[in-house]
Amino acid sequence: MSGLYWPVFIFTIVFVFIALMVYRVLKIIKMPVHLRWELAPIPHDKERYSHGGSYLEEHEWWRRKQPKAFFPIITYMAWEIFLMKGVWQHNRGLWPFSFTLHWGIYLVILSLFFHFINAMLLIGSVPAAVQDVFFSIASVVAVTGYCVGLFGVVGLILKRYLDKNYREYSSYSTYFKLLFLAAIFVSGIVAWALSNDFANALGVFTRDLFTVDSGITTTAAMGSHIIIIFLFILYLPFTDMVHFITKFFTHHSVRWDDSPQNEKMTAKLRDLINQPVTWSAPHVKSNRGNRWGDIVEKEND
Amino acid sequence: MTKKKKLTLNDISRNAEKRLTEINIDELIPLPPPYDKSEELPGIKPLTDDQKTRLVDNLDGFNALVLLKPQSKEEEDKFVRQFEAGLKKLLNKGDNWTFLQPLLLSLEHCVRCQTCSDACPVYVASGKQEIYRPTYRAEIFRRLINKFAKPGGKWLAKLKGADIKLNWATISRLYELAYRCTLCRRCAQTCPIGVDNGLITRELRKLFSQELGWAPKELHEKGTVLQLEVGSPTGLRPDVAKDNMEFIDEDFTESLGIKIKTNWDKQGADVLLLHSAGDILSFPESVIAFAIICDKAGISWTLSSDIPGYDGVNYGLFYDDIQLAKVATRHAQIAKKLKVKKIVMGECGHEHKALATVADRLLTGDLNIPRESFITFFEDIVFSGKIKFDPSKNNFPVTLHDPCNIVRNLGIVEPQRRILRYLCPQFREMIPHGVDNQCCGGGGGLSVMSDVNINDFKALIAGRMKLKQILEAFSDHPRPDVNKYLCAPCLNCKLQMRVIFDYYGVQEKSGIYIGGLAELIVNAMVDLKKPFITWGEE
Amino acid sequence: MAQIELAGVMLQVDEHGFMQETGKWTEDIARAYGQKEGVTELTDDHWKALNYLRNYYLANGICPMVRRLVKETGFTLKKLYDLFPEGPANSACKWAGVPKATGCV
Ligand code: SF4
Ligand code: SF4
Repeated sequence: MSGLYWPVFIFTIVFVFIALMVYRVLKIIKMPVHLRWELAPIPHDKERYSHGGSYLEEHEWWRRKQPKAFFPIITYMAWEIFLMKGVWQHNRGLWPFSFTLHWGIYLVILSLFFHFINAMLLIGSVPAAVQDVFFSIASVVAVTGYCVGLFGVVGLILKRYLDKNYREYSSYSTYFKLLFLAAIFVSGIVAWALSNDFANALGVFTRDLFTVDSGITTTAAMGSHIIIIFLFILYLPFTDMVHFITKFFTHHSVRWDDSPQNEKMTAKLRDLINQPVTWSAPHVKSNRGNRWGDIVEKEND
Repeated sequence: MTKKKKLTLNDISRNAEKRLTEINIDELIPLPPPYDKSEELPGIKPLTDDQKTRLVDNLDGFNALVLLKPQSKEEEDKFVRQFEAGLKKLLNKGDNWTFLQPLLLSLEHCVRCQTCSDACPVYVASGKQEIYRPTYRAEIFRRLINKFAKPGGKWLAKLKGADIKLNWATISRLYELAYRCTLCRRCAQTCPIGVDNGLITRELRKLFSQELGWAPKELHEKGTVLQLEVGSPTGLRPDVAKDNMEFIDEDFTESLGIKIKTNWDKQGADVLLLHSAGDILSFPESVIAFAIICDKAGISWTLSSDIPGYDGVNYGLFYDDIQLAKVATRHAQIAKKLKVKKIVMGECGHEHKALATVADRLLTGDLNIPRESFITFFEDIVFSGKIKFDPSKNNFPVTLHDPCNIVRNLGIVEPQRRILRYLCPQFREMIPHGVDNQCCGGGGGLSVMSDVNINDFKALIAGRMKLKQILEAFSDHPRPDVNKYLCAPCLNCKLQMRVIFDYYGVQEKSGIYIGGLAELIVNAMVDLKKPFITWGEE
Repeated sequence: MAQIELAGVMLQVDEHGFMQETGKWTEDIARAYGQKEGVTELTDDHWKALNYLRNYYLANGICPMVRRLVKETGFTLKKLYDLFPEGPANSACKWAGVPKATGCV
């Protein structure tokens, strides 16, 4: 692949990826208000978080506005994202692999960011010495990512296949996903091994990509690596790996959603209880279309 | 003993006549002595020959639901089709707006990391029987939803290698299996993604109830239906409730030597006390203790004799959104009619969860009357100085059980501990406790369910971790020579613990007594000349 | 619904053997229940408790609370367990032909 195929291929995928992610997120956001289903501990309750308490611990809690702290949520998420705290606490046997796989991915993403910076530096023609420093950083980040990630993903594949606690719950799609990730790391290592100016080459490639230079080209190994990465990005929104973003909603919109009913919500709720219900069990008396609110209000007969 | 073959997910739809698993008591995690000898225990009550011919018995040898064997293949197919229709309705905004978002979030993002498994008291206590693993039930349900309720599901299931058959074996087993989970949500707490397998179990129960009309008799027909009709799942009518309270008032007035009088239907009272009717019948000392505390603190309070205003339970929380909403709405309407300032929820965990939080988005407008837990209500009174206490009256070992619905689900953790640290010199914690507590094993409605031999499951497996914890908390006085108090401020928990205690003979062998929080407060009152806690003596 | 034959009568019972049609109850049925649990002879004490239980149920639609049963019969809880092997809720109510108590009791 050379010439303009590259920018078309990559920018199309990035666009499709963003569109799919936006679609998935919008789908979640636009779902109706649900009944409360919170679960302690809730980090935004700053004073009581350490023991898992909530504002319901306060005598006549409704007399006072209950503030929601922002900082503890960030700390919570940071511990989860960077250290996989939950897995460390509750599933230590999995942690070494889960942790390294995630860090492998983070580092590869970080390296992409460095390649972008390098492209900008190339465009801006900064002194070679500065550029070399950045090339080295990009190389180290990328290669560390590949190695760490590969360790994690191989560990996970083996664990899934050999450990009876996992095997039954791993379907083709699970292995496919892991092998796909492995392919990213392996192709990265190969591309690096076969090239004597890995980061430099990728920097140039990225520059040509953004300047939509029709002379854009790369080696077979490097090209394969890039293609695998972007195919993976295309595949990701169809999998449970979207948890990197939906995790926000499982926590914010359910586990930590302890907001008492407010006016905005009431209006929405009034609409919801006006909807027709089609459940068929006799006690629901839906008649395939009676409204939720009426079914609940109606005196029992 | 032959080694068990590893259970697979697809086994759920094979051999509808055969049990999926056999439970062997010796495979359960060990209990401390003197409860470690399985041969000295009652065992698992086998089904009678008659029951075997009538009832579906294809799960684990326990039977909670008394599901009758269908008469024909057609009947089986009809149920299977209904189930399939129900799967779709769960994803439908009109039918399931109440939990659509949490359900989809939990269905679509599980990465099968199994971090949740070891948090589950049922799974762990059972010696890790695959069938009770939180993800076993959830993954089957997830695959069914993906296959039958989503576009392209059938071929995607094949492609992904996550195909699962939907037939009579699948649905009859899933029905029983939906009642092997206590909805305690320990699993959800450990899930790094935020998936909630307890919620998934409840959605499964809902599908059965709202679409097929299948629900445990104790929860539905003799539960919410009876409550809405007569006033209480116990069958307690308003006149009988009042009569019983009058009897207890007199009885305690006589034995304690202080005047006790229950207020009924007092318009404009500050507080509507919403007890569980089961407390009136089975733990009257709890209800009396509330009356004493309120009176001594000079609170203007009342009970309601409206249907179902004297029974705060709401079994809808366990299995059916419509029934949940009906009961919660009636409770709020009663409070509104009485023009009280607030409802104080009594010692009943699921009443707390249902009324304080889950129903919060069902009660709109003037039905949204402030609702407070008895725990914060008591804390305010105990530390207000209105009542004089002598903690030395409570000088016996006390430990505290944390009802999942009050603690893990609502985050009410410390106020009850502040009371106990103040009033009970020998208070000690269980390990773990607070929001990490172990469930009593009676959550999710199991406490109310007692058909066929399900009590054996509750005592042997669901409540096993709890029993272990309780015994360990009192390990400094293991023998019955010292009376010990297990404070379990929730009727469902108390009843479940009674099932455990009866099964193993815990009261006799270890001298542990079950009670609530209110009793401990009253027992420490200086004004009371006689002990309020009587350790089983009349 | 399960069925059993007691004292020559076919009865609808629940899974624990509690009668579902309380109107069909006779004293012989109570004796037959007792036999099944190894109590061959029903004494006056048994009848005192059984009659109280049954009449209370017929009037109130529910079994009396244990505290009340104790007070009205004058028997201690221990005595009630001596009379009825499985205790007031599981034996006495069953023998008296009233349905099993459910619903958080
Ligand atoms: S529910 Fe959560 S903890 Fe359990 S397997 Fe799924 S992702 Fe892992
Ligand atoms: S809710 Fe509790 S009982 Fe149910 S699966 Fe989760 S941990 Fe187990």
